[in-house]
Amino acid sequence: MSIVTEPADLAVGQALPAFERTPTTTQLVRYAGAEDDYMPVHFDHHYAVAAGQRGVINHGWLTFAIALQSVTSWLPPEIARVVRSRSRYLRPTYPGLPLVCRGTVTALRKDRGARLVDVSVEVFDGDPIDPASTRTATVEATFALLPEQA
Amino acid sequence: MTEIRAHAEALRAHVGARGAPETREIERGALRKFAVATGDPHAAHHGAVAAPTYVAALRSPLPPLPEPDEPFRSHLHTNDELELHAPIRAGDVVETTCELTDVFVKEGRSGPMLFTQVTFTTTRDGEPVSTVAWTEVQYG
Repeated sequence: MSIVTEPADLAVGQALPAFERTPTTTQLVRYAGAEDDYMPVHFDHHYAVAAGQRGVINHGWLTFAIALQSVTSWLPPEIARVVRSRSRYLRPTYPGLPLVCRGTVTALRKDRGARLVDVSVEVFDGDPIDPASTRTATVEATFALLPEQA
Repeated sequence: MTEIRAHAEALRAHVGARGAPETREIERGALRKFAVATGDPHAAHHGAVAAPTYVAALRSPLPPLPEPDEPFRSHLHTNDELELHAPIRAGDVVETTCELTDVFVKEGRSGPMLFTQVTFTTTRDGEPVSTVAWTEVQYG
């Protein structure tokens, strides 16, 4: 089960395939330009330290993008599209450290004729089963199956 | 230095304030840069259709709001929400309006923390395209 090819592949409680990305400081600079977010805590080490961080921190929206990719890599845009999502950042994350996403299907439901898939993703700063790892963000997302799939 | 609570009080009077709408054309190159920057695995997001969180870039200015004498020591994102009503494609002309939607204070371990929520609403030909609620916290 690496990628969903039809709605019958979906089940409540299903665990999504493992997904891990490690942002680099170069990626943060690229991301700042792509999203037009120039908050110095994402590129100025001295500023970040003065603000109480260990160093520059990842953009919350980059974590959000990666968490959703952990879902779309499995439930691709040809099958379903994101209609609603919410990201909650529990603690700052740093470039050079992994973002490990662990997703679960929480509901399959219908709303006004649309077939919806609810997914919950937890983001950890290491292997979730390692007690030394910490949960750094949670993302809830609702995907609508495209009409030809629904 | 401006106190968090005093600043929150001053800002609260502006909840509901909206900035002027900003019109922009969705650029293929911008979609591609965003997909590259996020490492997006889908070819369609590299120019044709916006990746789901590209809506973070659809911002427009708030109207003038009270500012603290000096910026607070820490300024971070805490929550983001998005609603995508329709796909966004290269070449679309969209209009974004920004509104200050919430201001509140919570007591943290090291003193009061100021939360502000700003909501960006984007339309195309008057039809809703996306809504993004962006919550930040400032303290220290």
